Amino acid sequence: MISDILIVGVGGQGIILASDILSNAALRQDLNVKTTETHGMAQRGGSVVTHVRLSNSDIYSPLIPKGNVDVLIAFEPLEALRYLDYVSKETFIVVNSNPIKMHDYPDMDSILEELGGRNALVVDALELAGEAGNVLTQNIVLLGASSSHLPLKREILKETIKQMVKRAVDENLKAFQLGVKAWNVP
Amino acid sequence: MGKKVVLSGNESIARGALESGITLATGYPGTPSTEILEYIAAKAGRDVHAEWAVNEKVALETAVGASYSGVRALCCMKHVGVNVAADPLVTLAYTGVRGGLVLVAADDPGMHSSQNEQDSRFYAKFAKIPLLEPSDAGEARDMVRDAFILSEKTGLPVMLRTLTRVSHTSEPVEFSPVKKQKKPKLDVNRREWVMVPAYARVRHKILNQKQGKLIKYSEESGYNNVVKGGGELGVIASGVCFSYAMEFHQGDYSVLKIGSYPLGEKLLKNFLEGKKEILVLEEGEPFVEDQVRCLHPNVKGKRTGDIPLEGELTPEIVSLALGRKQVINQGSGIKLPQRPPVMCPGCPHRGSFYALKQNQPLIVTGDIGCYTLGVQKPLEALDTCLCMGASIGKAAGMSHSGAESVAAVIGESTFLHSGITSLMSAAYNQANILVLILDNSSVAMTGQQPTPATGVNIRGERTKKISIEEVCRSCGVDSVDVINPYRVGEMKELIGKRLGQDGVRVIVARAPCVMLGGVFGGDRYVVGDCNACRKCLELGCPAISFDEKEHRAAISHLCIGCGVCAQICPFDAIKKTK
Repeated sequence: MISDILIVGVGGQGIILASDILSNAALRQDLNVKTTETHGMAQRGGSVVTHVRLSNSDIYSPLIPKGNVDVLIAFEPLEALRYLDYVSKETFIVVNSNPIKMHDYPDMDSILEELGGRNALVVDALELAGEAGNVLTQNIVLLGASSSHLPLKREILKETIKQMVKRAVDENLKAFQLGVKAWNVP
Repeated sequence: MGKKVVLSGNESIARGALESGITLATGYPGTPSTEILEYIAAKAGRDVHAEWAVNEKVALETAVGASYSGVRALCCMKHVGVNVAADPLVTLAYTGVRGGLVLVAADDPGMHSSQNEQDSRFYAKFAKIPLLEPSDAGEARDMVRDAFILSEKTGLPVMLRTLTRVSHTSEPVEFSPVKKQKKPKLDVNRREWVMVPAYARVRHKILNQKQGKLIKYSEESGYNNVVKGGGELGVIASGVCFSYAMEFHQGDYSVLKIGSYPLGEKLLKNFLEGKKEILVLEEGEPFVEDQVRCLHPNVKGKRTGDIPLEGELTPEIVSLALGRKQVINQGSGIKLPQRPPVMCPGCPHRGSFYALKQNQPLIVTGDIGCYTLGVQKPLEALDTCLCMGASIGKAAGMSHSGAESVAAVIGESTFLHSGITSLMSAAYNQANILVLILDNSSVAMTGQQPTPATGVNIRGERTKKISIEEVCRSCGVDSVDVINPYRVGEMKELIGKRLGQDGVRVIVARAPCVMLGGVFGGDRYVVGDCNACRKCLELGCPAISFDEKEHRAAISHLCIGCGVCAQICPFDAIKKTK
């Protein structure tokens, strides 16, 4: 049984750290894992996508086949729409409500409308990260908010965060908890 | 069992090299290969010499020196880097190696961060050397260890071809113990090492005589093997494509996994026997496919259009070629604007480009680096980009063909990589060009690696610092100026003055890459009384946008306070704030 997680957003939002946390948590939980990303130019503010595949059996393709995604974690609302061909009706979508705008950025209402008919949780990760004490912890807020749909134990995720974040450990743990709460109290 | 760690394909290659007891690791940064050497520099003890060479040719020659000394050496580069290193590579197959030498060539199908998608396997065939191609990170580690053994057994350099999708995929990899390094021993043999015609003729024959053995070793390597299945379809898959073949495997076809080259006919014929149809999956050119085509009448692949000739393969391409049911998913109904990579907010190149454009040169020849992103709207600041170091040669050629007001733009790392020789040639042959060297104290695009101009080595230690302006003067140029690109007005004036003069004029625009941090002390800029002239938008800064509803420019939290927009605002409407 493979659990497929697609993390999308904009270069510089901490997407690679988020996927590193998932893969290391998987290792702690004795799961197989493959993650793959497009970077190189991605740190220059371009669209970034990371594929994370977790399983208790063999994983072959590093790229998730379209339509197979179980959880879509979108760090940015427009980027969530860009990868809708990867999701199905069952996909759980966590989306950060804070846009990173550029020329011709669509109306926020139309973005939210398109996500409306789906199993989507819209999270103001910027506000929650601020509440946690560090706006840079938005990625961890979003991990917390999606954790209910991940095959990873929350305690293991928290242990992994402690191990992997270099600064502001307490703020990151608080951010994770606030993310969890955002799912509990929609 | 050793400990398991999540490693990327690149880190796994590095780990394999460390476990093989390398003494030297060298290379030049380039996506998707960069992390290999960074991992070695971070994890290896002092007994491993790790270095960023000034270019790939120097890197390979340095690795050759280590190999001739009897120790093991790893040399890493991206696919186009092999073009630079091709001169030593091809003749190295004649001289042979002593200590194992593994050349990692990282191909970038889909051109995530490259100017072409050439297939390095042709270089291995061209140079007549063994080639290994891993399908995932775990196999990459094993293959590097076997590559060193194979290199010493055949006396040849061994190429390891990796792909973006292997280099940048992470998975748990189990560690093995680190082997002891070989003792250096310089056993000079001029007939092997001095490639004058009389000796080279003999070495060429010896290289040709080795070829049969290379096929035998490849067949015995254990990296070309069959996953059995029923049916009449046979799938042949190399590199990461094996994982796609297995993703859809339900026992209804057999898979021949290719990981070791050159391929012998025996291996292929055994697999092809009794199969009605063959599908070949590979990234790059139809390299295996063309060989299989000689042995079977019904081969599907890139030649038949079942697999695209360009780009990366995907699960979708493979499942379609296998005739699997396709999942057709609706994407977004909204027309989504693209979000291409851009120069960062506060990037020093922005001021340089703006000042250059204000002077309207006839043409700006470009080069390879972050600044190549300046081609995009609204800056559209450069007109050509071919390969590393090409800007100066192209500009000189235009000047000699009658063009006036020609400017070349090149980063300092690219200049040191392969621009110095062209500058010398331009000065010697009396071209009339302006050369703008954008010195941001790093190889920025690949992650701020140090260069000889920074005076810091790969381990972050102080070393000799090369002066760009002294190098330029020694090349015989007519003038050298150094300027801070954040002073847009001064920069504009200087470029205007130098662009109008004869000879080869160099301007070094020097300010560190903003990713190195700590440049502007935390101040930001905001828009006050905006006249909606949109001048600031001409900079293409990601922090500046135009609010159509409010009919005014706005600066977002992405601003890091470089102040270039404030300098060019004709109404002084952009102000500094805390």
